[in-house]
Amino acid sequence: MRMTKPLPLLLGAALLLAGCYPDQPEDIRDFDLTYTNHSPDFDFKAAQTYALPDSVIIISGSLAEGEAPEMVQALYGDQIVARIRANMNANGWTEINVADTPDVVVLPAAVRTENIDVYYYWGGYWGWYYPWYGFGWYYPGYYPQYSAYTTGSLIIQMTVPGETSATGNNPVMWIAVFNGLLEGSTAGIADRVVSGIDQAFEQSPYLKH
Amino acid sequence: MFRKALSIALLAAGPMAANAQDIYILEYPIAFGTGDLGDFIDEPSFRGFIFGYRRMVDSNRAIGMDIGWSTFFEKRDFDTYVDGTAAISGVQYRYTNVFTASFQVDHVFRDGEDIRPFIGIGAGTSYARRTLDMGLYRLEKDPWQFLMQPEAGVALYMSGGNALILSANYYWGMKTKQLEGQSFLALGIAYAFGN
Repeated sequence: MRMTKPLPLLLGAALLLAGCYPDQPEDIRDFDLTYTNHSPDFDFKAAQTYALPDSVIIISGSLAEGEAPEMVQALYGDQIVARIRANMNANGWTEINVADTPDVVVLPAAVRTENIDVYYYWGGYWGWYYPWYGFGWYYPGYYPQYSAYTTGSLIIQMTVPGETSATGNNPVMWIAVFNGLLEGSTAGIADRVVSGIDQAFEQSPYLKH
Repeated sequence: MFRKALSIALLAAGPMAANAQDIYILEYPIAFGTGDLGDFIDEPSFRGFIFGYRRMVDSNRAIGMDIGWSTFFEKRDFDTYVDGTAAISGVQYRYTNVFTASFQVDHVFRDGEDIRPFIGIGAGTSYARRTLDMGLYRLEKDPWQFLMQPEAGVALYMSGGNALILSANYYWGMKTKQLEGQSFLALGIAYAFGN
C-alpha cells in the first residue's frame, strides 16, 4: 500500500482558509454612509417653503435647564448649512424666516457622543431654537432604523411646525444621516460634507418640486 | 429528499467489490456564482478548497463524499440601495463563504486507460454565510441549505496510481426561508492519490 503525503497542498489549504474576509475597508471614506428615510404620507410637493438655522448644533448628551448647546465650528457648520440650502433651493423650495411660518423646518445636528439615541435625546436640544416645539420627535409612517449613531455623524431632520402630537412630539417627515462624516482630516471632511449632503438629496427624489 | 438521494446513492453503489480502492482528492476550485449568489457577487471565487474521498466499488463505479469551502467577495464602489421608504448609499463589501458537504456517486468510463472521464451526482448540505458590510454596519444571513451536486470531469492517471483530475461541479443550493438557493459552478483541478 502506498500513501502520498501532499504536505504543500495541505499548507496551501490552510493559507486559503485564512482568507474568508479578504479586502476589508482601509480608507475612512469606505465607512461613509448616507441614509435617508421619509414619511410616505407627507405631501412634499405641497410644501413649498422652508426655514434653516444658521449653525449646526452638537448633540453630546442631556442639557441642563437653560444651558445653551454647543455649535459645530463655523469652518464646517457654515459649509453644512450652505450645502443644505443649495440643495433645497435647487429642488425648488423657497427659504423664508422661521418667524414667517414655513411649511417645513430643516434642522442639522452633529453627534459627538457615541451611540446616542436620537429618539430620546433630541427633543430637549431644539427647545432653545424653536421654543414652541415639544419635547421630542416622531416619525409618521416609518421608522428610522439607524437610530443609534457613531461619533462624528451628521443628522438632518425635516419637521413640520404646528403638527405637534398630543404627547408633545414633533413629526419628522424626512431624515438624512451621514455616519462618521465629521471624522478625519479637515480637507477630507470638507469634501465629504459636500458629497454626502448632495447624495442625500439625490437619493430623495420626492423632495424635488 | 435528502434520504431519498442517499438511498439512490447506496443502491447505485451496489455490492462492494472485492477490489475496492480508496482514493483521496485535494482540489482547488475556481467558482462562479449563479442565480441569487451571482446577483449578490459578480466576481468569481479564487479562494477555496475541496477535500474528496472515493471508494471504487467496481471498475466503473465510485462512491464517496466531498467537503468544500469557497469564498466569494466583491467590493461595490458606491451605490444606493432602496428598502421601502429608506435609501442607503455607500461602499459595500460583500462576502459569501459557502461550506459544502455531500455524498457522491460517480460513474467512471474507460476502465484500464490512462485518461478516464467520469460523471457523478451527489446530495448533501451547504452552509452559506452571506455578509454585507456597509460603513460600520454588518448584515448577515447564514442558512443551511439542501444541496445537489452533479459533476463531470476527466482523470489523468500518472505513475504510482496517482491522478490529476479536471472537473466541473455544480453546487445547487435549495431555497430556504432565510435566503434563495446559493448555487455556483466550480471548475477544479485536483490531485488524487490512494491505495
